[in-house]
Amino acid sequence: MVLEIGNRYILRRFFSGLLAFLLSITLTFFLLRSLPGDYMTDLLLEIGRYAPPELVASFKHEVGLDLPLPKQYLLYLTGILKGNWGHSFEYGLPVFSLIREKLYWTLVLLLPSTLLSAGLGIGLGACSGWKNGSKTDAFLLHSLVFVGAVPSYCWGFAGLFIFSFRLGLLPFGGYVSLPSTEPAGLFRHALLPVLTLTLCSVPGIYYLMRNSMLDTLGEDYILAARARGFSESRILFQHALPNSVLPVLTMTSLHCAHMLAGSVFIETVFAWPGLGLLTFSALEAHDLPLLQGIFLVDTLLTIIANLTADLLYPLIDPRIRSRIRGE
Amino acid sequence: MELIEIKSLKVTFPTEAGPVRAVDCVDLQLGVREKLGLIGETGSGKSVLTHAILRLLQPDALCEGEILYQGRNLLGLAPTEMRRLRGRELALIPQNRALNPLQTVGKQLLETLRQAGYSKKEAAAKMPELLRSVGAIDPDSWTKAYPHECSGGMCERIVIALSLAFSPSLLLADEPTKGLDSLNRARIITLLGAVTRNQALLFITHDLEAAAMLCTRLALMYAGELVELGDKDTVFENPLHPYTRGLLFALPARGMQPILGRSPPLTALPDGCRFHSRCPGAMARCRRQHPPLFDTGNRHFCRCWLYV
Amino acid sequence: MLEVKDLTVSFMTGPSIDKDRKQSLRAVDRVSFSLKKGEALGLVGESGSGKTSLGLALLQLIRPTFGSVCFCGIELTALDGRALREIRPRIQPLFQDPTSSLNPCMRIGTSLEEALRLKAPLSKEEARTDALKLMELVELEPGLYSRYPFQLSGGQNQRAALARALALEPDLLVADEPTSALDVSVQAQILGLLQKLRQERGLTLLFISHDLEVVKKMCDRVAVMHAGKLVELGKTEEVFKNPTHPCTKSLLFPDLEVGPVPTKRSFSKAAARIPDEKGFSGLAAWTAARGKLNSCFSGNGPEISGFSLLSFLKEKFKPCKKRMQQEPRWENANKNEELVEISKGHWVLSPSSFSILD
Repeated sequence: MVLEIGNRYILRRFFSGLLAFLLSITLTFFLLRSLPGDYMTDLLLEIGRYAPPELVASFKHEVGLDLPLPKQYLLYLTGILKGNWGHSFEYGLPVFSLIREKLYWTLVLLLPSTLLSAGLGIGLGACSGWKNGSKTDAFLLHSLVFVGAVPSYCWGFAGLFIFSFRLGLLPFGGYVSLPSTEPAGLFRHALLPVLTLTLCSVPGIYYLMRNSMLDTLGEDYILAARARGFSESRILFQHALPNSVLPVLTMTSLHCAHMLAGSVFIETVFAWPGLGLLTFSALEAHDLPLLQGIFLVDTLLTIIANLTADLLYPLIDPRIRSRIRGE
Repeated sequence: MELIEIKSLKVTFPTEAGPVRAVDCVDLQLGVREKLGLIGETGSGKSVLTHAILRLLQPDALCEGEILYQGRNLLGLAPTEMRRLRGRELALIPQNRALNPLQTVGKQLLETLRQAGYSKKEAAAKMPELLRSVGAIDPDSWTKAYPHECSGGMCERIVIALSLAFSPSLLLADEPTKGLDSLNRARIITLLGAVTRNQALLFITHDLEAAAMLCTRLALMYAGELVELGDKDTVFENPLHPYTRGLLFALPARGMQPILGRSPPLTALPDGCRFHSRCPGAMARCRRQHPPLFDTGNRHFCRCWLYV
Repeated sequence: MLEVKDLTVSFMTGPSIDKDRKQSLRAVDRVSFSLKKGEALGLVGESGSGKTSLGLALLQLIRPTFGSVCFCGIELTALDGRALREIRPRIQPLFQDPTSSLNPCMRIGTSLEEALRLKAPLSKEEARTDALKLMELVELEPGLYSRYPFQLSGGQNQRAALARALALEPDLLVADEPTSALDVSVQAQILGLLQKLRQERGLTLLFISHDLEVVKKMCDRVAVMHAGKLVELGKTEEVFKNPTHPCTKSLLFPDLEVGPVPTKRSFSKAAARIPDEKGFSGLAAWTAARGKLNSCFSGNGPEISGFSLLSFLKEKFKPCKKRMQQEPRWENANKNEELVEISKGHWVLSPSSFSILD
């Protein structure tokens, strides 16, 4: 199949992804440099002291912030290529290893909840669209409107209140009371945050899927399939579902990237020490190298998600396949 | 013995503006191997009628009356029984050359042949034969193609092949020549005539010439009801209803005289005859009283007060 | 007014089912013709013959690969950017699907006003009055001014599209199958309107259609296209009375019994008696011509314009493929063929190439 798409297409997508990546890190680099305030001033303000200008200047000199911007940029780029993402001001540790550790914990939440929400959203949406006008449809539609209208952290609190406080079934938060390799403990700790994240992203996918299913069911080939006497399940799974899933695909991949940002709330509520929490503290502390690193990872994940959708699309849709061949 | 007999069929859709009757008191008979052309404008209810026969209307549509197929009322059949009839006995050639865009032609044909009861091997063997019967010279290249790679005429042929997979006794063709150029139109009409030699055909179209080529009887629909019904030659040589005449004279070859105005929306049907606002010979009675379908003899029926 | 010379449009096509390498397809192949002011030229051909591409190339909506389009002394192919934008209002298109050629989020009146404002800056009231005048011109009820396209019927939408084109007071209207999506009675209304406008406004019309009866009714001259080439051009009566190129003949009299249709006899019995010979001249001609004419597609009629044009041609010339490989006669003939004037104003693609088509 991959060969059929053509290596040129994959290469081209890859290069456009790379270009987007370069543009994006350049933009974040200069944007972060234009933020008012700096790490030292903020740090001292926190303990109620005014930072003397010499101290600020010597700090800037030490971390290289007094160099001209183009030179800083060049150093940054060469650093990335060499795998040296700089050191965090706040933690004094290499940014790369800091992020790697936190990213692991974020992905522990993100991957299952992406899969779950895609599955649930597509499943429920298909069901709702298929049974359009029925009680099931109305029930699903109304309950998901409700689910989508409530902010994510509210669901987090509600979950904590019921399962942890009232029933005492699950821990209140955190993750590290046990070694992370212990699956049962990990599961117990991750369950609530994963469910909350899922709950927040299901409605979006559900609406899209429901609409897409309704559109597909209005197509003449569905009618034709019925007129041929095919069973309903055959029409659903062979004809309606593959066609209506197409527009949802792109949306889901983008959703995954968005959840990365959305997880800040969830990680705060559940004291889950992932990337979201790290971003929050880095922003607060004006920790430039760390922020740069985090944005870099965010960009990378978004681009990978997009690339996946781009590569999946032609596998499913022959029309895209021939357009690619025509390009 | 008639193959299919429609008795005072009414189809009503609930809408926000109140119930809309898309098909109103239609009576039609279709004999074995008979070819009937059902002619009407967009929105005259001709597609709704075919979908009602196949019971493929949306679930909230209300069908009243009877549709007798070989003596059995289709409207009273259980869904599973109806499903068994669809395709096997009553096949639809859907509008707009409807094919699933994600599957190759071959896959769709195979699926349909399997549904028709062939084993995998038989179906694979039957497929080229079926495609050849609709005019394919190189069936193998057709089966590998996706619908978007096929031209309009080719898609139409494939759709016809799909509906023939079961060898049904009645074929309902919904505007098969729509959007085709004159050459392809002529070919599709020829093909339809040839493949339905042992089948009854209900040919839905707004293309009068195509209907003249293919059918032995014609039925004209206007705003949800039949306005004229008769043998093809009688209708063309001696059109009775003003609407039929208008349609004939609107043909480019016959002077291209347009019918004034446009058909009334089904939500706001006028009193009296539904055509009276566009009718050049409307009388006072036409504005007041709704005409029934008059029998003018010679198997020719017309819904107009001129023929009381 | 319009002078087209050697116009060529090539596309790169990928999606051909048997090959997945790139192929270049000449949708329009060295077409030349001219159009006088106030004239109506009909462009006919089966689907895939390149008539729509030709129309779009005239409008510069696709840029021609080669050749010249000279409009009122201005070379359109050389224009770019602003200059092109300034000339565009003078050539207006009218498309096949009226509903999709109007912005679905814009009221009919707003669409018209937008076009009117392009011509001259107008106040709100002026624009409204002008728009209503236009609607009256195309026989649209004023009540439809604030409606959206989806609330209108196909015929009404086509009238609105026509009004929008007329708002710019064009010299040339390129109508690409403006009625093929409409019902017969509505078609007659729209075509009648077009004829009326031609008489009243002296509009020049390029009328693209596959319906010969319509072209016969609407146009002074007719041009026949086949496989991207102009194969016949002449006065409408002349071409219809004396069609010379095999492609024209086959368009006029589609041979109904082409192709491997299994039962010729049983069907011809049913279709042989066509009512009203005078009225249905096209149909009568079909039957009359059946069997007599060897149209240029006989033999594999059913599959014409299947797949891409190129694979069609390949299929078409299969029998003589071997010979072609020995001596590339077809290609030579292809290069040398020219339009030949067989009688005054009646041009036909060099008759020497018929042998290859037959």
